[in-house]
Amino acid sequence: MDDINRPTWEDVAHRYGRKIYNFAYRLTGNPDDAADLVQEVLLRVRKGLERYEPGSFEGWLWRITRNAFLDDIRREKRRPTSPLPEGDHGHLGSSPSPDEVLAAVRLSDDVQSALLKLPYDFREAVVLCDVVGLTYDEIAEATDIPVGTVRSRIHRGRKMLREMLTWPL
Amino acid sequence: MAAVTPDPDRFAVLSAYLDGELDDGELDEVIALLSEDPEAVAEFRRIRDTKRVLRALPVVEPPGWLLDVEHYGDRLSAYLDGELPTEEVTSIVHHLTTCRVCREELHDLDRSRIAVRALPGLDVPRFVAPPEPRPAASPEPERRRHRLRPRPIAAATIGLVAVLALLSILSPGASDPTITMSDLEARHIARVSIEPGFSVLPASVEAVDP
Repeated sequence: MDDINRPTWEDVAHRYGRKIYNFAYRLTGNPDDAADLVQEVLLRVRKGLERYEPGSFEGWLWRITRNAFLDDIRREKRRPTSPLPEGDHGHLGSSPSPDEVLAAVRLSDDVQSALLKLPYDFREAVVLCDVVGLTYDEIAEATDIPVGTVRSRIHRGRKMLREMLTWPL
Repeated sequence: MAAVTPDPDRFAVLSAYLDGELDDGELDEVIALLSEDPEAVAEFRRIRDTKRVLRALPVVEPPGWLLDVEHYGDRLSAYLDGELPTEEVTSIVHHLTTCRVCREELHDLDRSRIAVRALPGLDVPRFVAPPEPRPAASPEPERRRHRLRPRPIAAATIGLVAVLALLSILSPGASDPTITMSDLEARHIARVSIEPGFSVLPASVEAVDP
């Protein structure tokens, strides 16, 4: 990729920062860990952009993100089962009623808690698909597993989630 | 007789269908499942509802300092050189307390700056810059008349030597391209430009660095 087309790490921060943050937040349930991960990813992007070869930029970025996250887990910095903090209450739509807000918050909390109970491989596949919005091919590239395995993990992850969620859908 | 464990991927094609990720020919399989197998229909509804709930999770806004700020990439050099107005210095220092990426960029810039400033001085060959002549007892007009004009030659030679020295440092084939900071500092020609105890970051910023 030539210098003209290569994004800067600041471009990456503006374009993908929120997605990376949400990915990390849904995997950890912890806003501080999510913020740490975003900074770590941007540091790695800054160092790695010079060596980035033309290809799927998103695949490259999400591989970096995933590796940064797993490295953190290996260093035992994260506590994936920590309770959901307050603050996950934004962007619930325009002018919802108080009941709707409460229901949505409860729903969100329940789903987040269930996500944190999923085995990591399934949680990662579900979050990349349903929170980040990657295709199966992009998930396969980011996680370095076959597409068939991606499909299986997403399906099993959703099934496990459904079994954990106690309220009627 | 041992119970048969159901295949956990039995209805994976239904998830793929909901995600628009079917392979060729799988649509027929989905249609057949949903038209003939009540269990598949129930599973389809469960997966669809779970996916709907996941997709409806609210977007979590990162803290403002993380992304909704201006980074200072191209102004960090000017910051290092003390070439920014006070108010901008203040905002950069504040930004550096939280932004690890800008802190790292600043350190890299500072290392480059020090390396360039620490380039060693060159010993100019005697024939380029001969020592000051001692006061002669009597001028020798005849010899001066045949002397070459030294200034243009000296300038050209210094330039050539500087280019050769730079190439020898940058050349990948050089016998020992490694330059250590201690080596540079030992031959420091511009050491005076780096104040003793100079730190690119204020103490408060260094303190929060893990």
